[in-house]
Amino acid sequence: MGNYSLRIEMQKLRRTGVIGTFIFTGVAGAIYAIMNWYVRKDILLSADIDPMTTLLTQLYGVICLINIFAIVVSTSNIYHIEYQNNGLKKMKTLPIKASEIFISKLVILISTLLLSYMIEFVALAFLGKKYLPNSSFDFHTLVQFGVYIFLISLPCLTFMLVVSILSTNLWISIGVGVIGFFSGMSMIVTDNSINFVNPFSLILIPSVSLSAKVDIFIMLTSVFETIVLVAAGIMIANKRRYE
Amino acid sequence: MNIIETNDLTKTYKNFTAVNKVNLQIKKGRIYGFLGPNGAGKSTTMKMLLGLTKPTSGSFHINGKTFPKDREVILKNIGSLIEAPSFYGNLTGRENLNIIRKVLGLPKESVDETLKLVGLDEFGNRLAKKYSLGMKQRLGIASALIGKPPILLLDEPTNGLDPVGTHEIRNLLISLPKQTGCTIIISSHLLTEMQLIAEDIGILNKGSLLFEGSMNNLISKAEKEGYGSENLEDMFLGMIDKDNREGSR
Repeated sequence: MGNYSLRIEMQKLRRTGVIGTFIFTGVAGAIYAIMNWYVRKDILLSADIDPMTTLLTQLYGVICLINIFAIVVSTSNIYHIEYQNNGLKKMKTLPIKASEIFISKLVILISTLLLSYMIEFVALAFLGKKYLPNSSFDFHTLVQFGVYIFLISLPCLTFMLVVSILSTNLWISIGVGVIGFFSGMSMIVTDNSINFVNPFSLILIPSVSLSAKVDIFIMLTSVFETIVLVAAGIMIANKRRYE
Repeated sequence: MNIIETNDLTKTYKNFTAVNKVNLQIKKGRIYGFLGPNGAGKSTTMKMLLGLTKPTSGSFHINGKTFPKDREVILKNIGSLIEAPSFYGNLTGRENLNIIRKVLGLPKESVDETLKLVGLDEFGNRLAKKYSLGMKQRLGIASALIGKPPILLLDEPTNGLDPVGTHEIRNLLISLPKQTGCTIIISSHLLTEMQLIAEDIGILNKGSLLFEGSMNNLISKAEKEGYGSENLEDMFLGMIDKDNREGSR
């Protein structure tokens, strides 16, 4: 697959709001983080944990919720445009593989999610640099944590894209996303190994953790789940008929 | 020379046989009318030729190539409109065609040429979801015609078109094989239209091919079997009626 398919997929996304959703989410997450910090900074900094950890984990919780919302809406929408007026059926009659379409959509979503995180983390860097006491801001920890949470978001995004390809109805995809979100929220408070299987729990793990350290096991689990889900998505895309 | 050949092409859905051992022989550069009542298996056959549905048994060759081995080569040479027109409602007509153009690797000018060909040049910048039914149909035809492919598979192409539109598309389809040497396989319920367009005819009923040959052969057969008319509609109805009666016995 060349960047040719990516360009075609980008063109298909005009006026859909898929990319706009992630940019909006990034900006909204950044604004929320800044506002939250201004309102709660005294409480947050009085906690008995490292200020850098407070900055990352306490603000990540809400940023994460906004990002899940963007993932669910964007992934559902990105295949909805294919099913709405049988666009994908036309694509299947052209010399292009359905798996290339899936991969292109995935690459676009991953890139825009990354952009969203970058906007949010610029806000966190600004807050850390300006307000953390005694030069306790550590840029290296911020970048490491950013990469970590980006990687643990990928199973959720890939899972939702697979759901989206399977469902011709937008509301079913969104419904699965909402159920996934609530299942993640309810499971994350329990110390259960199933948390590592549910992509919606994985993405929430840092929000209930009191550490900004990278958990290698969770990170590798996320990468493994993403690979499995991408393979499943490619297989489903190629096998699925559009009669 | 046959550009499309099917060998005992069959499609079964659970207990229902949609297409039953169909052997088509479609000649290059001709307009082939594919006729049959609703549910006869015309669209299913066309979908199999495009790889949209997998045959249960049998095989087919398109220009000497086979599915799925030569899928990309085959699809590069077929323009199609199957059932309802397929498009992206969030894009304009021009943008829709531009996507197909890019996939097929065609020059930029092909988009405007095709829009003009189907009479959508004035409406190219309007969102496809805002098109009328007839305009959507024209866009569907444009998406099949773009790049002037050697084979056109058109399922009910004049659906939703007004009489003027039907006339324009009919004339366009008649002129294409002469201009580009393409082969057109066209299904329609409008038998008077088909009589004006098609040179060869294939008649399907309940998944089986009842007749295949030139329009002259069909007239001869109709005379021989006593349908007593040169009108395609009468011949078609007589043939279907006879098959249904024989089938029910």
